[in-house]
Amino acid sequence: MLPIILAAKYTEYMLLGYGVSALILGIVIGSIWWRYQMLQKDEALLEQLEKEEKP
Amino acid sequence: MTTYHPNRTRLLNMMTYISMGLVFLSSLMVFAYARPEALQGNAQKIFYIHLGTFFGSFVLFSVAVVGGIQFLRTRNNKWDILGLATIEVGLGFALVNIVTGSIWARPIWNTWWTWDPRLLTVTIMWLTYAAYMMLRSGIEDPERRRRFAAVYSILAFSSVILTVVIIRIRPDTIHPVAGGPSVTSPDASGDFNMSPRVVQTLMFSIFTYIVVSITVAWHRIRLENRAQYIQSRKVELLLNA
Repeated sequence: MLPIILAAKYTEYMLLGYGVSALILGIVIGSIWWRYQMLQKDEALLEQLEKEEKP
Repeated sequence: MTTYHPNRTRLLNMMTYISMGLVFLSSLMVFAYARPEALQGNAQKIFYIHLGTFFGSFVLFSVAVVGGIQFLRTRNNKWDILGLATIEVGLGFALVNIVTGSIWARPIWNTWWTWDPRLLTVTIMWLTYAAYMMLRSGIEDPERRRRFAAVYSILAFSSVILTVVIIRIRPDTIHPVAGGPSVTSPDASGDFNMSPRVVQTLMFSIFTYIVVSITVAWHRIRLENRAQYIQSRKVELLLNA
């Protein structure tokens, strides 16, 4: 099966299509992950500040 | 204030693993099971992710309509978060759909882009939802922002309906129809003669990207819930200082 696929034409467009798709979806998922990490840092800072507030 | 639901987190984790498994299986089917098309060669394989991501964005934009209607009925913030999350993630999926279509068009239509009716309506659809994100962030009053977003998400869906319908009613489009009735295929057989392997791979890819889109949108909802929870804690801390 693999030789049939590799022998077919326009393989470069198939690779480009899937590569760009992975990049766009990676950016969407990565941005959610990154923002979540930033929020966790914020939360840790808040907890520290709340502790300092309490006598 | 947002509360933590351990059962929901477990379900979301499960959905995430299922999505990853589905993407792996779907890739296996695309690259090792479905045979290349005789005329289009491997460029035809783009079609699986192109259609899959379109259905993913279609489902998300439909859910945004439900979120909009429910917000206007109940004024509950959770529906606004649902609308925001589904439109943001839907935009990403719609972008993949547009870009993969353009890459497929280069060898098949001999051009990266043409102002075909379908390409025009899908661009309008994408810009309509992109404008939602920009306009939403421009309104400072939260209640007004939520009301505006709810109405906009309902009205914006007309661009999705137009995108779906256009290839079935305009005879001058060169965009192929995979299935269902159209001007060029009144018997609903579509413009392709698909082998059983291609049909199975296509159906599985569509299912995969619908599940993936829902999972990613759910993660986005969790992020927004968390952001609003932390914001309320910040305000509380400032008020007590």
